[in-house]
Amino acid sequence: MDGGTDVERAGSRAAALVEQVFALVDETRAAVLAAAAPRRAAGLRRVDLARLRPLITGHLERYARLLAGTGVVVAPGVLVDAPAWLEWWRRTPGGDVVFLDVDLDPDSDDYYDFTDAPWFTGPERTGERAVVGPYVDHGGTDEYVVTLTAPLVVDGAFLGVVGADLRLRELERVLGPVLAGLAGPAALVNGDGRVMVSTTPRWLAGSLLPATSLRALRISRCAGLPWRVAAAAPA
Amino acid sequence: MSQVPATARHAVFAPLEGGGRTDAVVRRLGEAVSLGLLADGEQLPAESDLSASLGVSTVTLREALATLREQGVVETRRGRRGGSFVRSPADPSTRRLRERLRETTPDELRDLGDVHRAVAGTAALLAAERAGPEEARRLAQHAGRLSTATSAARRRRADGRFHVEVAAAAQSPRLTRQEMELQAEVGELLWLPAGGALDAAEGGRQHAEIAAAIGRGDGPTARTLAEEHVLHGVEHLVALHLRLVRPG
Repeated sequence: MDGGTDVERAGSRAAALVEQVFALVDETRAAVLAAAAPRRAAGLRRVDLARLRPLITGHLERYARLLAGTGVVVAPGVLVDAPAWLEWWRRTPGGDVVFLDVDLDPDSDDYYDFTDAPWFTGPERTGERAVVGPYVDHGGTDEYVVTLTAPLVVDGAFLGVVGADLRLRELERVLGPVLAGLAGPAALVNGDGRVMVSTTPRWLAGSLLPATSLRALRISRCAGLPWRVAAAAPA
Repeated sequence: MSQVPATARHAVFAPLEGGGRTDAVVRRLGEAVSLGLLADGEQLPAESDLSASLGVSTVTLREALATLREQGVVETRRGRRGGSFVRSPADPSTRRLRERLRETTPDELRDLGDVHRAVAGTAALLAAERAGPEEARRLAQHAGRLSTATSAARRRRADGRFHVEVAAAAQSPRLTRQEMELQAEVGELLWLPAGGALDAAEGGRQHAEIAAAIGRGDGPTARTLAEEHVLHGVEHLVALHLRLVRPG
């Protein structure tokens, strides 16, 4: 058995990359749940999340270019010493590891309201992982990213999400060569048909492939993801 | 603090062009307060004198004063020492903004506007090409926020946010950053507090039209509307600047 068609194999590679990142996210989640469990009566504090910093920044070191950032986003009203909180660390394009400092004051001009972001509301409503984007994360990292998140639930209560931002340009770097191995023009597209990685200038990253075009292509879904690999049949 | 040129003050009460509509009176007086041409605590001329010099009926003037009272820009006291008084405690940031507007020449405003038109126009064009239904829905939602914003700061935020969302819908981090920087430069001038800023209802209408063109996938129209929207803002700032610097 040769492991499926070429598009299926490319789709598996994309799914495998995402699973690697979710494995890191799951490590962080386990650590948050371990910190939350004994605090149930007294309540969770920022300092409890601050203890996760070595783990979180360690992930950034391990996946230096792929991860634009990773950490924990706490739902409003969960922490006893802050109305909302992000224990989120970024690795800047220059290589510095910095704390993502966003404005959490609802009355401020630059208020970063994450509570209606799909990467937050998805896990909140469905209890499932979310894979969101690519999108411009203005007010947060200001980069073009794909965000992976998983819900944090303790005793049925939603505490927030853990997640990671992948730089789209790094997805291009890793998966571009995979797609280049396919016969004919090929692209990795998200659930809306938006091109993420492509081997042809005809399908620019960020643009939408219409459903009619997709129907004419060989498609493989990426397991567990709303993504697809699409390739034109060889001439 | 610089002296307000005498002719600038005089122009506040000069006849309105194009007939006397209530909103024109509100705008004229509101802008004058924003620009500091009328000082906090200053008494306005008697209603009969004011309506005569503006060239409007007393009914129109009273309607306008009622609106300005609602906006908190004017207060009316009855009785012997009664009359309408300006309310504009000029906090340091408003004074700073007026100074900035006075010192920025029309040519500088035009040049800033040129860049802004390029960024906003292209962002709208690309957003029309690249926005999916979810992005279009977000834009329509943000377009509705300007006309319902309840303070100068909120109007400024709603205006800027819409433009940033258009650039994000274009899938371009660079255009988004450019738009954020332009909003930081021009936003606070466009939305001077104490009344008389850009017409928020008109601005909101323009936002809605831009969002609709993007939702339809009509790039050229979206671009033209976005450029016109920016141009409208530039012309408004130039007009305000000229009113501030009328030769004394």
